[in-house]
Amino acid sequence: MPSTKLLSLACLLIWSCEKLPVIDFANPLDVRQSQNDGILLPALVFYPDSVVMKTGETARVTLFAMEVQGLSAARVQIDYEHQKLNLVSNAAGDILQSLTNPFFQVEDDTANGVIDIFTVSYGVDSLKTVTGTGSLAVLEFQATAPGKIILEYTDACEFVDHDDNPITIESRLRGVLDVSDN
Amino acid sequence: MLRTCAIVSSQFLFSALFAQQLAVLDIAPIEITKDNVLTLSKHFREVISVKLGEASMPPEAIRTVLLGDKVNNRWCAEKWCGEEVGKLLNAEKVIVSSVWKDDEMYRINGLLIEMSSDSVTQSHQFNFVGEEASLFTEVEVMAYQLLSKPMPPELSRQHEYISERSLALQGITERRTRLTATLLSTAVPGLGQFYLKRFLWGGIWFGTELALGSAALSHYITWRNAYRDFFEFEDMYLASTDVIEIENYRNEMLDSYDVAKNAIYRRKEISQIITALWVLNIIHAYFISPSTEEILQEIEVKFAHDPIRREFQLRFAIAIN
Repeated sequence: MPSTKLLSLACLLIWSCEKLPVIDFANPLDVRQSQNDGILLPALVFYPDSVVMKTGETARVTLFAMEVQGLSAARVQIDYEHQKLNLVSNAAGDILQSLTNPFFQVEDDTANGVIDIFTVSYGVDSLKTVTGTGSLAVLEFQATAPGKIILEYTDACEFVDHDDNPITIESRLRGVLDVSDN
Repeated sequence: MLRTCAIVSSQFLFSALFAQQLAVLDIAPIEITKDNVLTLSKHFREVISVKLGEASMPPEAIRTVLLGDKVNNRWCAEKWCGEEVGKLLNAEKVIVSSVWKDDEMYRINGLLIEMSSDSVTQSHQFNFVGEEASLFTEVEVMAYQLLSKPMPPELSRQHEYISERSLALQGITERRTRLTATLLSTAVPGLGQFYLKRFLWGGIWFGTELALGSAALSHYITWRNAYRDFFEFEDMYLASTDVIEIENYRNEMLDSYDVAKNAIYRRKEISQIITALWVLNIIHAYFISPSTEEILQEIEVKFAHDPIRREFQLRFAIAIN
């Protein structure tokens, strides 16, 4: 009946409980949020910083350099739980891409669960250094056991400029792979 | 001996003459003067015999028969009594009735007793508050009802007039009208005022609430769209790896949040105004409901025009005595 619908709508308007969305700036590459959270820059972050997956599945994680100035080369070392994770594939990121692909080498110490990544820009002139935020590498992992698996940057991580001067990495943020059983 | 033979023979003659007829006993009075009730009884019988064409025993003949048995038939208003009298009179049908002035209320009761089956085939009961003169009309109505005859339109109107006036005088109409108007305005703003024929007020209340309701709906839709947009921007924000894009989506999220928040605030404001006006409209409907005096005036105006004759007529009361 139209009158019943009208009355229902009236009640909805008067007593309805609209809600506000919850603001959660959870993108690890959000510079403003990082500053709000007290994270010093430049930083090394994983994107995404949290992945939900099942045992046996693979997940792609990108390593990002955030708000770095004058970067020319980088060494990134990652600790991971080798009993629960396998590195399946790797690829160079795009931050050091110039007219040619950057030098890119990955060493995976599966016995100790350490991945070492070396990447160098072959750019010349204005392309020899980069400033800003960009990906250094893309890694693909396969989960072999359930659990919360932490990916952590070690102290061996380095950024250098064109003259091989070190660039301080102020923050190294971890990533999490939340693996559940099938 | 001769006298006894004369009475017995008159009874036989009476029985022979009126054996198939209707006996209409005098209306039994309670708190009504004897003279008034006799006038009413006479009118009652006239209606039955003249207007309804029912042959009934003459009252003098009834009294003559009952006198022999020393029965005063004037106080007979019950079935058992009517049956007893009916047997004495050898009547086929008996009508007994009463009029009782109970404080302000007049109560009229009547029974049509079928002697052959010893049962009441028709009954009539009507109570009203009003003038004693209205009893004239009501005993006439009782005659039509007991004998199952259709009432003429004029009599129906008079009966309706007495009935409506009675409800008004008891305050029932005022209470009922006020309650109905209040409930209608509670359900829909302005509807009570429309019911009371205060169309301008009804239109104002309804129009205002409709306009405010539209505004509230508009804010609700704004909230809904902003709420949806927020999550769309959030998805894009989370999926983006470009710092500038991330900043833009972040700002869009915050804008959507502000729009949603303002829409909620405005909608709540308007809802409060709607609620306040709704309550005022209910109170207004309650207080503009007509009083008993106004209702009585309306009744007089309503029944002043005779739709059958299509003319206005003056109404005046005749004292029974």
